[in-house]
Amino acid sequence: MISVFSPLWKGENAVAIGFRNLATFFKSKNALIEENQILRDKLASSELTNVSLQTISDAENSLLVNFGRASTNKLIASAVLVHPPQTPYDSLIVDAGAVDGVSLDAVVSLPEGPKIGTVIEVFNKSARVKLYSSNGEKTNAVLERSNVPVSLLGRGGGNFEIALPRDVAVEVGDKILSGSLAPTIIGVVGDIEMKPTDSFKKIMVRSVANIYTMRFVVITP
Amino acid sequence: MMPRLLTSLALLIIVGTMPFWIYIPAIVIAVIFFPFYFEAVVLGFLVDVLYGQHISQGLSFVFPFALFLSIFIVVILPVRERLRLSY
Repeated sequence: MISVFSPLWKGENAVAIGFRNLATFFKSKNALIEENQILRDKLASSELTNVSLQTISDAENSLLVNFGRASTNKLIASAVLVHPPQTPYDSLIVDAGAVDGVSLDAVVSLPEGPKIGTVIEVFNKSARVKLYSSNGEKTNAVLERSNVPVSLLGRGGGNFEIALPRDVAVEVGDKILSGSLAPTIIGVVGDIEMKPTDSFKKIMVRSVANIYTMRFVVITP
Repeated sequence: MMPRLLTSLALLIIVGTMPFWIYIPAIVIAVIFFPFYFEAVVLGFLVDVLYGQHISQGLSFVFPFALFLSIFIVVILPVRERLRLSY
């Protein structure tokens, strides 16, 4: 069934890109020059950050190699065919499948690094991805501020919930990292709810990935 | 018969291309509008197959939307008789 609808979704993506380019055609010259300058500045800043992060990443990798835990660098780039809100649940359909080397339970992440979900079904040329933010999905993670292991409970729409003892220090904007050897950011604390009589506080976390506009993902088989 | 068929085709396209907050209300409205609109179950099944999760787990509850529409079609039958609708 997925393979029947895939050409439609691929065509839809092509049309969307065409319309985006059409909108650019009608922009004024001054606006384009201004936008170009802003983007150049942003690019220069991002390149600097990238270089400094790369140094840290290289140091971490060499450390892991010394301890015999080198990460495999084989990644599969994939386009997102369908994403929320077209899917009523937090799931994606991507255009890489068994032919491309995608396997069940493979980790899916954004090209920038943050992990977003796992592959739950593999077809020949496509795969279904369940996002960590799917309702009821539990993911092990770490609260960066105090290095406390937490269990993220998916709440749908790119949101998570955590229950923590009231004494654990948490603030809005704190990062939640994946509980792996090379941690990547999963979400950011968005809100904290606690009544004076509660022994636990409810922490609402929002995913760093915008699941409604996702176009490309990277799969680690 | 023709409007019903055209609606089903339109809903099929909507399910394949539009956000869920458009196609789910559209299917529900079609169920209310047409008498015993069993095509909705097929559309619900399609939504579950295309976008649902845990489809590979044999005994688990895998077609929630198709089941919801099946129940809704039966429940709406006596209600429809009390409403004045064109079809």
